[in-house]
Amino acid sequence: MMNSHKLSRRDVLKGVAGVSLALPFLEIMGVEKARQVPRRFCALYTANGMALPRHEHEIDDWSWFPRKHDAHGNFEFGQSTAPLRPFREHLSFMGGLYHPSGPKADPHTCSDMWLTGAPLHNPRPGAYNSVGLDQLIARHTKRHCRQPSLVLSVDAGTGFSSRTGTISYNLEGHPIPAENNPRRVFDRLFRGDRASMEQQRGDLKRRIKLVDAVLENTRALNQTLGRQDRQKMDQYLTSLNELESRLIASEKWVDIPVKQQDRSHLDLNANNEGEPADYYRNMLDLIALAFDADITRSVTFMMNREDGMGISDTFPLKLGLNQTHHSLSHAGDKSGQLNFGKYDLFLSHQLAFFLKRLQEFQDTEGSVLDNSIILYGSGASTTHNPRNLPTLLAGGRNMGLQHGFYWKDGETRMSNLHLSILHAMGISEQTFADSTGTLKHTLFSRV
Amino acid sequence: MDEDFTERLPPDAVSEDGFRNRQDTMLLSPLLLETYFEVAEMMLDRCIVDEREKPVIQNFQMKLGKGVNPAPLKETLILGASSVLLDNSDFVVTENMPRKPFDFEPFRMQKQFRFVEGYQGNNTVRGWREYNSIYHAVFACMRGSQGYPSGRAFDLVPEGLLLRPAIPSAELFQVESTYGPKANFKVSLRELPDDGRFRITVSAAKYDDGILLGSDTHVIGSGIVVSDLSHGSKTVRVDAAGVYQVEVHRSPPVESLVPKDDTRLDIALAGHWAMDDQEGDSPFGQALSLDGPDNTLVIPANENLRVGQGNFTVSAWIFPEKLQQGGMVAMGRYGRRGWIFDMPNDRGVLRLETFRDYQKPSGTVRSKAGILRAGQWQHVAAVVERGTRGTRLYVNGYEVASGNIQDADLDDPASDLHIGRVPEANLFDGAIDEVRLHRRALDVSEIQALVAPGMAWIQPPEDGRHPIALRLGDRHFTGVMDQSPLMAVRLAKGPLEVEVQYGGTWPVDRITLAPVNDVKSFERFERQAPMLGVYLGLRRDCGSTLDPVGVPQAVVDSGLRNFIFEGSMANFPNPDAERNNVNYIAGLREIGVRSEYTDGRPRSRLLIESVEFEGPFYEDWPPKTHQRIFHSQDPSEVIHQFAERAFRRPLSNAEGTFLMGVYEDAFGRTGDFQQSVRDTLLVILTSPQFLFIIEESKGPEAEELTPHELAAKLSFFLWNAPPDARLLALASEGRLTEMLDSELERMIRDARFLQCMQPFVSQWLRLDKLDTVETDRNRFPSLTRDTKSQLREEPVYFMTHLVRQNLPLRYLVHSDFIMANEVVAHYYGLGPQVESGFQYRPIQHHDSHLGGLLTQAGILAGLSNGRDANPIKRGAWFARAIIAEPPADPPPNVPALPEDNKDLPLSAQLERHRNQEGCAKCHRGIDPWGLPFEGYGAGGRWMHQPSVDTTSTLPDQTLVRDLGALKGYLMENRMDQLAFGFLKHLATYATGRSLRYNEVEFLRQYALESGHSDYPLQDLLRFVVHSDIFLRK
Repeated sequence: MMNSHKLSRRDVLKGVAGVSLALPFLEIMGVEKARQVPRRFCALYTANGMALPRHEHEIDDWSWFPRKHDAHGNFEFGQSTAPLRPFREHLSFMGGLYHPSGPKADPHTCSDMWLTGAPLHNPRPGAYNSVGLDQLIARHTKRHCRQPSLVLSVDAGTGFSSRTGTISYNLEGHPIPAENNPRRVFDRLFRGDRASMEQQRGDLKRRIKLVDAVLENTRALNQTLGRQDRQKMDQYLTSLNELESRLIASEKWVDIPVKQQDRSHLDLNANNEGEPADYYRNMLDLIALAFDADITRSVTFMMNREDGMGISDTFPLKLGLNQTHHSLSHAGDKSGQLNFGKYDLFLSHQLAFFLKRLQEFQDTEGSVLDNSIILYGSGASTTHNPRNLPTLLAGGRNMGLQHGFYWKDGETRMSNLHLSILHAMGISEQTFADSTGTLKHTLFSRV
Repeated sequence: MDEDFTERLPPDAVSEDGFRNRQDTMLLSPLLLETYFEVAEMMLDRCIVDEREKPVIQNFQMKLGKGVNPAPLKETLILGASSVLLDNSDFVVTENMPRKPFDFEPFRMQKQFRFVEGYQGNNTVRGWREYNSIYHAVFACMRGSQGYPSGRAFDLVPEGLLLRPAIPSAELFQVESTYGPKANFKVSLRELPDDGRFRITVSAAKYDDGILLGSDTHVIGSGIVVSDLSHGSKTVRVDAAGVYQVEVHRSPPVESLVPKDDTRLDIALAGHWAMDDQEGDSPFGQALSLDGPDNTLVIPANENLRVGQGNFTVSAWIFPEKLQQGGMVAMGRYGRRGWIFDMPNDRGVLRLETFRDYQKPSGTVRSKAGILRAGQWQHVAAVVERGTRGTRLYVNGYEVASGNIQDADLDDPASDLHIGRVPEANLFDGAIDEVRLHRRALDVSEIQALVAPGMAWIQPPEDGRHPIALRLGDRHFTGVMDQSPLMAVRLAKGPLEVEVQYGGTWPVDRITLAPVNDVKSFERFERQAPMLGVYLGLRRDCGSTLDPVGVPQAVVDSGLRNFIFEGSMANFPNPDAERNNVNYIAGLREIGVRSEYTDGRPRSRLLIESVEFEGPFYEDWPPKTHQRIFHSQDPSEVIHQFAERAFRRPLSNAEGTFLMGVYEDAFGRTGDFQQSVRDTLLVILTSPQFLFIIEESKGPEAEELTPHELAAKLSFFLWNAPPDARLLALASEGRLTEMLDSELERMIRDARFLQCMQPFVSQWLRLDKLDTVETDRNRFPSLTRDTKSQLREEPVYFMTHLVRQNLPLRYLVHSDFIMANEVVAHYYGLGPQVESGFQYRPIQHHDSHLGGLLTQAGILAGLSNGRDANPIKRGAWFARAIIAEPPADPPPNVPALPEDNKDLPLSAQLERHRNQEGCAKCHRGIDPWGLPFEGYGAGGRWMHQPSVDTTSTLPDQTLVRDLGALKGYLMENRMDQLAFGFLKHLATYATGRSLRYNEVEFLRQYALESGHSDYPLQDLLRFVVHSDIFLRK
């Protein structure tokens, strides 16, 4: 608030791309790497859980989790997931997932924890949250694309602690403000503003000069060092060189045109105050286009918020389902639970639309869907229940994902799924949050 | 500057011996370098200001006290769940102009707001609403779980806010309150600076308090009696100053004075069930004993039992086994037409409930909680007299409640009379006897007649736990009237005004003030100064995230004094909410003020008169950080001075020329002096000469360190900080080597030495294990997060003490003292011996199970799984850290423990494991060291279980009986090995590299040869520093 600094380059970058190290990188090592098929990740979050109706209401077929399945994971779609039928071979339902930190923390923080697994019950600073899966992925994929990540939500900004409006947390565990307006998302993705790009270029040039100076100084110093110290200094020089080449590459992006695409069908006037379906479809379409043009490889979209916050709480009302999203999720009566299921159905339609768009775009090998892992789900099974998190995994066949099953293996840490996703994307982290290993299943055939 | 940017650096790897400062494990990566650049830029951003701009300073004060605000805000403020906002009249917020020797712009907080959301925040916020007051920007709020054990957690008096010690809570959802300690005070507010230093000034005093008593005390003489207190205050005279015990006496209820009258008891008697055909025992013959499912007595509906719209009385003797929901006598059922005489819950409440129709109540009368007792006979009666407050409940003849039962018809022809339960609800747990139903209202004398047969043993009903507030002169006390005497207090000679407010059933009759014989314990209480802690952070819906500002300060004086707490905004949690959020309670920051809790001992309340904030806090403008850089207008002077401080040595000519080249180049492009200096400083701060501890060498042979290299090596070792001016001056004069011993002494004495011992001891002894172990709260309720954090420091302060005092190495094995503060001492059961708050002091323990490093709870509790002790972890730790015989790594693919043994206790599982072939070989070097520790539980304390097997055959075949014997064995036979272990770890940490073979042997040889000495620890440290391992490169 009282920060009297002028708007620095860093602030501009923070505003533009969400992460403080927002330096896009064009791989200049060689042509073959540039031709490599992109690996992408998109997380779609829906709050307050899914409908899991009481048995006595006799509407079991409206349960979000497949009710009919066998020991081998073969399953039948329920009423609310029926629109996803055409993608059976591209998706898997996952049961029994949970974050061990979930039951210990305020249930309203389940969306904060969904991608991070952080122990949010520890109120000591330094432990509020930790890096999210999407940002860890972005750290690795940012060198290949223009923008490290795209952080979207139905409400702009971050919300506030324990009622957040974003599911994305940076390397330091701070929430990344989300964008919610299709037009602004479009501008950010496809219309670089000349002035800010020039400023960015100027800053990069200055940074390159300084790194250059440090390099020169280090080389001079290196000649007077002992063997052990010289090894260390070689590491330093290598890292410095790498940093410099990244900066140089970033500067080049400024002049490279964005891929030609047909974007005429987008309705950039759609917003979260209009028809929910219009809004979701335009946002999801923008993600698909961004993937196709390889502008970013890591996307999160918080489709609605926990605990009756924000505008998405009213979406079921607009769809004629009588109650707000949060109160539907608390409903115990038959008609309330049925309406909650119908809202799941509405969301399934949006997800099916998104998968279809991803399938329509082609990479050099396979469709964009085959080269993208889509994680769809909620941080609560039904509202305030932090176990058996409804989770659906789609796409990523080219990363070894084998679909078509209802996966369940007792209680499984969500962080193990996150680690498996990292490995499938070729990111060799040892652990993620409180993970104990990767999932042992053909779903991740290459992990 | 003291902003901490290291959080954003990726963590360093841990080497095999636990150290994080090893050059071979500290890897460099582009990411790390990127972060170094970023941190350097941020630091320069914060240090360098635009001199022409006036600084903007926020300063406000919150004054606290009963009725201190003459013009309180009329609106009711709400701040979300479990917040208790102080009454608007009890605090005042003002924005001030601090006195500064320079011009500045005062920052004024936003007072006009529009909000549309407010989830339980201001629960009236639904739809756009506008606000205009500073009291919607700054709140005074108590938060934290309810239920303080004695007295009220806080009170407002005219002088300020009184706080009792804030009892920590686990802050785990569904385990304990997540709202923070009970109880804590916060100033919640919307705006604080994002960065810069800040100063929080708290005006506080130790309240002239009394101890709330809970146990026996003795009084001499009868003392002073203060009576007739029901109409305001009374003034009495205290003839002698001293410590007095305050006793509060409640009035006996008038009913007990009424004579009994049994002459009319047969009139309108609708039924009398004496239960003499039943099986239960009772003082009145047999009783109805309700211990099975079918024992209730059902009296079929008949005309006689109908009470209609009239008066009636139901009475009985009852013996509740347990206080729990259950009906004594019921005509009807819950929610149906009729009446029910029951205990509605487990809190000792007596109730009569009536319904005129389905779900339509027609009046309920209930007593306060705590009236009925379990495990004794008592007489209960409900006298229903229709009309205004005519209905009364009696226990043992004492009226315990009165109220209204409407004159509706209560008869349902289908209802039977049930004794022992309300149909479809819980059984009454206990026995019932002598049930009577009168179709008229009995009077008090008749109730006395019903009670008379049991008069010999009945007591007045309990009055429950009710708050009492007492004023003695201008001192205010609160307590709970569940015991008498109430408290002890020091009184001065002279007149004393006494006033009491009590919320219980019986009024206060008189108060006695009697001198006590034993003033020692009161004097001890008077010595316990409350400790003032200040916190900064943010409000969460489920609690707060607060970080301490500095360390707690003892408030010794009973007169108000200012206590100053300072820090840097950037080091504290920030809510990360965007500005102009439309939610009323989004993004609130908090300044927490607490009286710190150590171990629950009685402590005077802390009086808080005001809390003042100023930030960014500048003493000068431009600030010192800026002035220190730009001390001259000559770029060469500025850059040279900065670079020499950063590189910790004089610059070479080449470096000087190079840096000026960077400056000239930047100046050529920008023409801006300040900007070009800034660019040059950025290069300096990302150069290896700053980032690394560099030792230059001319050839492959070992060389002496240069004086400046030695200065840096010493200070990074012993202070974990760059060399100070004196070290650098000695280096420049070439006198550091000759002054080495006196410099060592100075450095060890210096407060910064703790910055060496913190990382060294915690990495050497792997204290980080305690941070990650998930302690079973049911087994170890006292091993809370706060206690753990104190226990974790014990080894650090212990080792620091040993080194500073140059005490012998055998103290590692055993010492007759421990280093403890109140929390640590309390954990070991030595609480009363320490009065140092959070300060660690040596205390004699007189306990053969304490002393030395090996039995420190912070170490042992970390070497467990949080439920059970683990002799293997302890053995491996001992072998590695204490005797420097590290066990080999487990072979690949060894499962932690086989699954099929899950049902066995851990000790049996471990035994199976180590007896397996293949495992046994390694474990021979591990387990024998761990088994003697078996007498200590996973909480790290001696368990007092003589049956636990602690015998062990050591690798050299010595049989030891227990840890005491192991300690004896070590002191007799293995001190050279312990000396070697300590030397090796210290030398590795001091040099930041792994030792070469000949260096390790050199240390081993030295340890062997000095066996005659006691191995004084500071001497060992000096030996390492004087050795070629440290001095040569």
